[in-house]
Amino acid sequence: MKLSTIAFRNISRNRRRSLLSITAIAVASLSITGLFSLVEGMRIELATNIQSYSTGEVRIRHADVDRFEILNPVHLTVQDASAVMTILEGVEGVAATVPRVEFPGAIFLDDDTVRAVGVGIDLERERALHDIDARLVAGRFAEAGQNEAVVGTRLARELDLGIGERFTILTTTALRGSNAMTFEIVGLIDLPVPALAATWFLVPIDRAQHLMRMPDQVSTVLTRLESRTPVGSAGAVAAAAEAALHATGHETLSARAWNDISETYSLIETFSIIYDIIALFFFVLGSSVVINTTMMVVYERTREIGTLSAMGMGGGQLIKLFFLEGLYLSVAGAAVGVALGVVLSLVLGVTGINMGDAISIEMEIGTVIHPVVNLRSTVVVFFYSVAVASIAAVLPARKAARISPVEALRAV
Amino acid sequence: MKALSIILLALIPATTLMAQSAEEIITRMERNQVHDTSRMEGRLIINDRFGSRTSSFISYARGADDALIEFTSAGERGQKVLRTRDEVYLFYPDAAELIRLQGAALRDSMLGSDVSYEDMTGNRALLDNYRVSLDGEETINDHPTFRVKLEARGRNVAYPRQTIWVDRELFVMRRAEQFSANGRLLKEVEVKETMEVSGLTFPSRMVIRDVLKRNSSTEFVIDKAEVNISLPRNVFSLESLRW
Amino acid sequence: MKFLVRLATKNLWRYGRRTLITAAAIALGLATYVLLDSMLVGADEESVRNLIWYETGSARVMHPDYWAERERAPLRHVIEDPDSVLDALRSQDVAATPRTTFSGELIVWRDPFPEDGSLLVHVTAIDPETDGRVYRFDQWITEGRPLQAGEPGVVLGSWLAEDLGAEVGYPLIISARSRYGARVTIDAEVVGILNSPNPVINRGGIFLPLDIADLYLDMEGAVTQIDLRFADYARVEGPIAELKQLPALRDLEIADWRLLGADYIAMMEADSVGSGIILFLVFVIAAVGVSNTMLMTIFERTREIGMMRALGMDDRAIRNLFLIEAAGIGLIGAAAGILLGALGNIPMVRVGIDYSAMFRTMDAGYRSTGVLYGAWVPSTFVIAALMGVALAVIVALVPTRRALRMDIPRALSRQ
Repeated sequence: MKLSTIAFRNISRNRRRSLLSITAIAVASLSITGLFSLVEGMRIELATNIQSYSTGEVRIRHADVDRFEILNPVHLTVQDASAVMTILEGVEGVAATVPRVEFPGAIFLDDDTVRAVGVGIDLERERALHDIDARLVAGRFAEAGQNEAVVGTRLARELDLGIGERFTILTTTALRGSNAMTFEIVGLIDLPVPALAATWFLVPIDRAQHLMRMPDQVSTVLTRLESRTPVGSAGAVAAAAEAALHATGHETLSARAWNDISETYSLIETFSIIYDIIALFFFVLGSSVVINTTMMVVYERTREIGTLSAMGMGGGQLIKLFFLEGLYLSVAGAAVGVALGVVLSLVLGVTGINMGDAISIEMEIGTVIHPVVNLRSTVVVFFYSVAVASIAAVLPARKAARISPVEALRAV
Repeated sequence: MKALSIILLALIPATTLMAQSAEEIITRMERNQVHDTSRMEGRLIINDRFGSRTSSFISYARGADDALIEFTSAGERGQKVLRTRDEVYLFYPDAAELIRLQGAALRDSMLGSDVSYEDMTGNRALLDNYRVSLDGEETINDHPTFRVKLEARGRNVAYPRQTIWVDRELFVMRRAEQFSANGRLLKEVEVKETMEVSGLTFPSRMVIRDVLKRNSSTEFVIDKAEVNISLPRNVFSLESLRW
Repeated sequence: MKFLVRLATKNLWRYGRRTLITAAAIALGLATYVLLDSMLVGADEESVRNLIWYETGSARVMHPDYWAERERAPLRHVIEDPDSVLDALRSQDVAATPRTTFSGELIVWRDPFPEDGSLLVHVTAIDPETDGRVYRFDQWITEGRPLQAGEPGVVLGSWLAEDLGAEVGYPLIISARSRYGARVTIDAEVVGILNSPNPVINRGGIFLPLDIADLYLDMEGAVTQIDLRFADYARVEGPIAELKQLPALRDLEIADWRLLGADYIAMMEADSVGSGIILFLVFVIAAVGVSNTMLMTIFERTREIGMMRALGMDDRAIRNLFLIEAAGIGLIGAAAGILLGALGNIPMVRVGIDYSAMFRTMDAGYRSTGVLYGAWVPSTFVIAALMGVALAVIVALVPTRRALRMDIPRALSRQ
């Protein structure tokens, strides 16, 4: 009889035992898959938020902004914005350009002053970058040409203002004078990053340009790249974009890939490290569960091993038999576990896990986390589980194979 | 009354000026520079590390306390600043409400210049706020001047110490320095040109420097001035901001 | 009963390997749980410590109107007579230090600084003599030296220093307003650079001797706050209630660190939701591991149960026997798990996990730097041990009852 047939027969003969082994392997791989999806979800969320709200995939702005950042250099703008956007759209790999005018300022209330950041947006172009409509929780978006604003939910709460009410913001213009404008709140937006929800309000870009004295100027142009552009090539597109801009007389501008902007990059790094540490704990524990269960099964069968070797089965064959059994069980267990993990992650990916309203005020992570299945790590988890379980089966089998049949038969 | 004092001033022989007290020097300077009413057109040229820009304005003033400034240059057209004794109100054409500055907000710089809103409100009669003393004589830009030291009477005066150089003949300020409590120079004002209207001489071009911020200066130029004219009623009221 | 215990012990010994594996499952589960909890609590505790040791103290005495206006750091609402307050606190053996926080502009000039610049800042004036009673800066001064009373020196947070291009010995100017509104300037020299475990301090900390601030700001002895340290930061309500009775503090307000660091605490609580999810997952895996091995142990012994019943042992005794065995395994596992967890926790607490990625740009977020330390949480050890034993017993109950329900010949025929 072929060893594999015996292995299959053994598995189906002792269904309960097999089921336990499979469960152990399945639960371990399920939770590791789930954890990885959770971490992947947080990573992607972080990247998406950075791209959607602060940098795009490639960010174009005045090259000196960084240097004078602490001096609030609103006058360092992107001049001839429409021409610049046309040039950028001609760059290989750029799918869409999204102009923004950002203006930090003070909102004067009766007794208090609230710091806020107005963002002039072109709604149609924003839609090309992210699903901004899904974020609107009440009212509507501001109409071009109107002094209307959509306010971040937390900011609205802080201002104690609702739809239909008005506020006035005082800001520094690009001419470094001051200017103020009154906006009517027409909508509330739930920005996924708490720090933004607490400070941002969105207005039509033309009104922002008027307020800021920035005719055909913007503070930043964000770009979204063609979806087929390979990951990691944002840097190359940024370089090409900058070259194209410099060649056309826009030497003051710089283009940077989102992951090349140091602060965002290190943020992602830090997150990855913390979650890798936690994933390590899960791996150790998951492995221990698998090893334990498998070893238990094999020890329980010491007598059976004795019978088999008394019947003349050689040590090598014995080990192979147990390895095969372990392999089949672990393939089944890992498949079930990984599949469940993927399904669970997909379901949670749609519904989201609400992490509470107050999470990490300044981190660019949203309050609802949507796990994302990462194919590579899922495959790794599957093979890892299979390998650990099979090896765990072989070790005690080897030991059992070495003892004499008589002794083995005596074992309970 | 005012006319009479000007005549008297002209009659006093130069020699007796030497005997003048610092109080008199300041009083005479203020008589020249602080007008019962005035209407002026001018420019504010602001230089900082990022370059230079010019804003033009029309201002109305009454005495030391009340002033209304209306900006006319493209960048800030229609913006108005109303200064009363204790408050500053800002009007912006695109804003539906007035912005009232008080407390710490008064310390912000006006249009990013070297002049704060508080500097504008703090102009009231120097002798109320400062003890003055004559510190000597000096020639500033070819003009013989009295050097007058000012020490704040109270501890709530923004600039605890000042030195003002007053022209010996014209009784107009030629230069001023403002110091912190512990004597560091904060701001310097240099009068480049003066103007005479209706017998009153006052600075028409001065450069104000915030010494703590290097590479920055604000030039204040008056192109046209009328003094002691009758101003429309309610110029210095909140309603006037919304013309 | 005594007989059952003896029999259970004998069985455990007899099935040594089985006992060992099941106990190992429990032990590993517990140890992992304990260690992960230690890490997560450690991160939280460190954050709280860094908040208290470098930013808030355990509690703060201030003028009742100060808190509402703290953003502007006004010098209007002050403690006029800090000495009487300090005396009263001393009589209660409370460690205290006076401080004055004021807003101003930090001005640096090119040469030696790389760029001219000015920055709106909050400056903290500290009493170099007594500040160490509440705060722990001195050991973190990585360059230069601590402040000395009477000299116009400034200690800067390391990241702020880096942003400005400041080094020890560089001159700078602080422009501010006196208590009465007059403009003042303080010419000071950078004497030290502070690289503390608290990123907020590193990013924005500017420290000046209190007597210098008092002189320049015309404070006449008044301070904006008196910061306190209690022996146990977790219990502040009691001591604060007592202090409020003191005549010298009657007109003042005392806020504890939970209020002073409220934004941050809120953030940490939300974070603990995430920690909860992770710990729950660990618990699930561990529970599955334990129940698996336990179930198997008992299923394997169905035959034995049949045998005992055939020999006339009553069902309750058999069930109790198996439960006692399970409890025994649970105890061994729990003991081993706790030992393992404790041993593993020693390096976690002492050495920590160094991940030293740049926390710098995580703006005002976690108050933590590159090393993650564990914490001793006795309650977790106790709870984990109880859970281990309870789980073992509960899991044993199911297959035992099942085996007891089988008829004897069927049970005996099982392999």
